[in-house]
Amino acid sequence: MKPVRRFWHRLSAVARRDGREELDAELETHLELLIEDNVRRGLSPDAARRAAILKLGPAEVITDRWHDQRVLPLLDTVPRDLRLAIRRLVREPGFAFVCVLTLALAIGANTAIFSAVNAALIRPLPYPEPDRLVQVWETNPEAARWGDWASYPDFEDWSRENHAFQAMALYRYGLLRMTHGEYPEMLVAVRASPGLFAVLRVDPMLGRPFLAEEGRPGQTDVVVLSYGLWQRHFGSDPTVIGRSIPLDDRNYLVVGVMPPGFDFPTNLQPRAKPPEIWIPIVPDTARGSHNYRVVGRLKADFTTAQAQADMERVMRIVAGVDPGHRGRGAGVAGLQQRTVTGVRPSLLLLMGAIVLVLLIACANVASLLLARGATRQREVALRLALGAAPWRVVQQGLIEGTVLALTGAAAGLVVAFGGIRLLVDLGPALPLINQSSLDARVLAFTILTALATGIAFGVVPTLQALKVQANDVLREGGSRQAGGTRLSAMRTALTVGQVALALVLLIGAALFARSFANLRGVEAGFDPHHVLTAFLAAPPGDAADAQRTVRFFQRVLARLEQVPGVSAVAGASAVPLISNETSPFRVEGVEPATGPNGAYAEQPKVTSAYFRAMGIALLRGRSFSESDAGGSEPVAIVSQGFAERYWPAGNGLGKRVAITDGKWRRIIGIVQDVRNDGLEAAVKPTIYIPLAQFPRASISIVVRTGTSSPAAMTGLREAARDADRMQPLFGMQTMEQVLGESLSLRRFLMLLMGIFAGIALLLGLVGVYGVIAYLVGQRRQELAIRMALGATRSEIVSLVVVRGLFLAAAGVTLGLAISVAFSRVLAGTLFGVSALDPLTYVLAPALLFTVVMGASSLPALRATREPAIAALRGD
Amino acid sequence: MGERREVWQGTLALMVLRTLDALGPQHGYGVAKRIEQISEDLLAVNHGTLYPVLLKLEQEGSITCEWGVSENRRRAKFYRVTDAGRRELEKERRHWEQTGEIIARFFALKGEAP
Repeated sequence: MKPVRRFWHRLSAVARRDGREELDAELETHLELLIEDNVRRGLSPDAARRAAILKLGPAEVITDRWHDQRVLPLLDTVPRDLRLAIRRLVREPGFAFVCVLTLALAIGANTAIFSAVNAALIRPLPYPEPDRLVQVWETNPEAARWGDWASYPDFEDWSRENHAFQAMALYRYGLLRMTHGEYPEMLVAVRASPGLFAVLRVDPMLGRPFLAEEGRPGQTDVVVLSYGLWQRHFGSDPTVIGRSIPLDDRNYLVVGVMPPGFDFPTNLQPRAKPPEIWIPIVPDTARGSHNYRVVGRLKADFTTAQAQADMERVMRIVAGVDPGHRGRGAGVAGLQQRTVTGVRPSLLLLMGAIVLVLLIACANVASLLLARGATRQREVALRLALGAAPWRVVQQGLIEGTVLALTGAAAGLVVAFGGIRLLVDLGPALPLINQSSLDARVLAFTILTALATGIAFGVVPTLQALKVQANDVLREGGSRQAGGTRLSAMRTALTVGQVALALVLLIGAALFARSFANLRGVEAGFDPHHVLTAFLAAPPGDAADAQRTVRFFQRVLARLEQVPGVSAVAGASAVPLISNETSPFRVEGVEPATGPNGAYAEQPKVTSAYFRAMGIALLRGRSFSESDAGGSEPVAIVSQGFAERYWPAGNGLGKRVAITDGKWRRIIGIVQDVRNDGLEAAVKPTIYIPLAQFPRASISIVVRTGTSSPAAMTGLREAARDADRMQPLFGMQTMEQVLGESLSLRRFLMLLMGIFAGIALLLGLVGVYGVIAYLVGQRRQELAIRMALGATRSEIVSLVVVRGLFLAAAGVTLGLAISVAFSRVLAGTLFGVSALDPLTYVLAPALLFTVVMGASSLPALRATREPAIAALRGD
Repeated sequence: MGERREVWQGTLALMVLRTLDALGPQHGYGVAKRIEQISEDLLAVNHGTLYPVLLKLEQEGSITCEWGVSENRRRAKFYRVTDAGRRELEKERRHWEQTGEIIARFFALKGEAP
């Protein structure tokens, strides 16, 4: 009861006026009575007063203790210390500005990077129970880059045989031409099995999801619209449900409209445009066409690993039905995890790097506080000598640090806001990262970071001040070197740490820069300059007739050739970095190969001008010509790597290969290797086939122009419209853009690491300068005496610079040790350069040494210019 | 240090309570002087230490106070033990007696076999 009662007293006392005047009155009376006593004992009035004051004890300490007793100390002292801290900072605007700016940069950058980490790795996908959603795919040990695809019959078998899933759905991207308005419009469509919305547990906002029977052949002509399309094209008219819209010349019944923000699966895919319509997939029976992705919702009691085991069992059943699937397995992984597999290491690396920057910034602010603390040491010592509780002194330091950090964090939010915009706009086209934002979790992160940093650099100088013997400081009196040695040791340690961390970042940045340079140096195998590409589909009515589609494409390509500035026009079923056509093949007289990469080749179907348009060099034989048509002899052109693999002697011309249609094709030419899957990926064997001999309903066009791209783009669009108003070109981009985007993650890493290293270097420079300037300040008199006794200017400078050298050497040694220790973390994200690259490990420390020397010679030079007499007088 | 201070504060509180109990209403100076007399020079250094203790006792409800006029006709706070305070005092007295007795027995221990 007693403690409770007391607690209430103290709590309520916080709100009341403090009773200090009453205590003062009490103490005053007490003092008077003591004095009267002493006078009565025969002391002189003066002596009586002195003795009385001694007997009562120091009023300040009594009042403090009394006050601590009266209220809850924290509730009372925190606001007091807060006011004090703010007053102090306002009194020193320069100091406050530097601290807050440093912290704002560091905390802001941390917040921005964390927002990306949050968006990609932490924030759950926007579907109910997102942790139950997984991707399922077929694995093929014989193909190195098989990817995470599935075939339609796979999906049917899996759905029927599995025990682990509540439901599964399969889907693929497609494009549909809507001829509803004046001009046809290409819509990004997702074709999905009817259960997709149920798996995701998202219902249409209007109308209904697909019915199970709408997945059967002949019943699939229904469509669900995106919120965006419904607004834009149908004026948000709710009566659109039940209407028909023409898509690819067929009428589809609108059955639903999805809620705003629903854009599955775009949020999971790089570079994808949000889908505008969803339509039921038309079942197919091709076991070999792995063109679909499968998403599943796990049953409540199944883990991913258990589901994986279950799927392996299912795959054995499938292999029993279809011998072609022997040896195939299945992959199961969390949908979110699967989505971000590629970026996780990079993001974590950036997060680690930016935390280092934050540490360096903290060290800087702590160092500044230490320097200022030198003047406050006497105050602290005095308070301690008078009996103040050490905790109160520490608390005050903590509060001051926290005020600084929170102010820095507030300013940092502005930095973060800009940083996030930058990440989203300039950052790589990566899944989920483009949805980075300042949400509650990010804000919480910022505040926690600020508090942690505040404590870190608030408590260090105060503890330091506590350690210094009060007596020393007080005795040294007016000397401003009070406790100086210890203080400078602390600052030196902080600076060494800064230099070390700056070196770690510098090495990291250099390695990423070298990786990027290496990547830029990789021969792409084609010439991306002045090349445009776009998609073009044959009229749906022609699609069924191979020869009609061939004639259609020939007509459009011929029209595009007439556009001014165009030097070559071609069509291709797959274009490097944009699309793939990977299929099995056979070589005449060679046993079908097995093992990874054994039996699969890239098999683009191209028109005769393709190699000229794409800038792929013909090495031997001839290119395709107009005479390689449907009725003539089946021919093929192979890549150099392909030819060398099967005919190392170089006599590949005239040999025969077969692709999926089974016809033997004579090899008439050999072309340069192309990095189809990106500059970092291995070169794949490639077999080119004349488009006329293997027609496709939609192709990419490839156009080489002599002039700048924007003008050509307009010209090409208009020309295509001339050729067929109903079949527009879409998705037009330059190959340079495409190549640039394929490098975007690398460029992003290099850029950010470069920025981080730059900030670290700058902060390290400020830190070194600060500590050296401080040391010079301390040794002013000594240096002046040396000069007066005849030391030359350069001797004085070198005396000081040696200290800088010591800092640099210690920092560099530490930094090298840290870098080597963490080199394995980096290794996986580098390209063509070792994580222990000797050149980097020499140049980065050299740069750092130079910077440190520069920073330390400035204060030294200044010291030599000072009039000796002023220094000796000690002003 | 801190622990010692806590113990000292507790002891001092008991002394204050007992002094007020014995002398009746009294101001801080009176209490200090009386304790000084009885404890000889235990409190000689710092009269001021008393005031946080008085405040604590007041917050706990063991004493109350009211403003009055001192011998030299100055404003002074007079403290007085409450019923709760007397109960507390009684409890403490028994506790101290018990503790003292036990400790005394230990000091009386001789090197006997168990």
